[in-house]
Amino acid sequence: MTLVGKEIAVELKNDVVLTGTLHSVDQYLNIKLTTVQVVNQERYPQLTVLKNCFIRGSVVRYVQINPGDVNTELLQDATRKENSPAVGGTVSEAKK
Amino acid sequence: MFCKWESIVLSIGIIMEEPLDLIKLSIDERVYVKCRNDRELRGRLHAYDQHLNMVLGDVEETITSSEEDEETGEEIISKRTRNVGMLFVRGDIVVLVSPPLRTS
Amino acid sequence: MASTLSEWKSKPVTVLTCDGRLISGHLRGYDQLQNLVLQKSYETVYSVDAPPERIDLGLFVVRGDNVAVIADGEIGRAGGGGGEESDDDGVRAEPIKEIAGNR
Repeated sequence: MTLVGKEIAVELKNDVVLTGTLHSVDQYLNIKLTTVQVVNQERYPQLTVLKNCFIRGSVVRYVQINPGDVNTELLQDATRKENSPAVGGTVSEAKK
Repeated sequence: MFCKWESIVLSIGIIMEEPLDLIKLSIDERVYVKCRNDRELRGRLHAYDQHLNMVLGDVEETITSSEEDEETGEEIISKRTRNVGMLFVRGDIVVLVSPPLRTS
Repeated sequence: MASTLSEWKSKPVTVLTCDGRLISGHLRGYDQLQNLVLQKSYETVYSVDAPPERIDLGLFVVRGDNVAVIADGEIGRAGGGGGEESDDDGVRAEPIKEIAGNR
């Protein structure tokens, strides 16, 4: 499951919202967007020139995603797996 | 039994060893998330990781802001809400996560 | 998957810093932490009641912690002809907020 190639809106911690096509994400959640547009152009005319950009993961507050682009069942299962205890595996024992 | 912190056995039958196990029980439930800068989120928890990065669905965000009335000097508190269908939340803004009522 | 800056090496870029400033220049170097070396760099200062002001900075290192967004291209690239008015001249804008809580 990937959101690469999908339209997303990245809200930064300074309230700026950038929309665009997700080009790539790395381990730090740095985000690269193409065909960028700034939301509320009247407020941020200086940012309308942006086309392709790299957003540092640490400045991101939210990423708005189109619900249709996400398989929530898959996400939930992956989360349960990823967060099963590394030591002992008590949760899986409890399930038996 | 509940004084012992290592393993608290809940009635559901899942052993809890660390705080995030409580959040694990909230997967696919509606949770309340308090964030920095007077932001609150209510939404269905689809995913999280050890940083508390989260994916929430059907989110209602409430932003509380206070302004001072120019004439009276009184503090006016206003709340704005907005709805987002699917939201990734970066963990570093998360202050607390409250599981649904039934597990408390 | 990797989000590297390699495609922008030696190209003109504009950096939005965590304190809300816009710095443009040629990207001469970078590393994993987004520490950047910008050559022929300049800051563009926008205000509500005056045209954008360009402040030349020369060779600059920006520490990665202070980088918010890196975009390709320079803003108000008046580089072509000296003293020529750039497209950006009419732009009036309030300053961009700083990234709160970015310790």
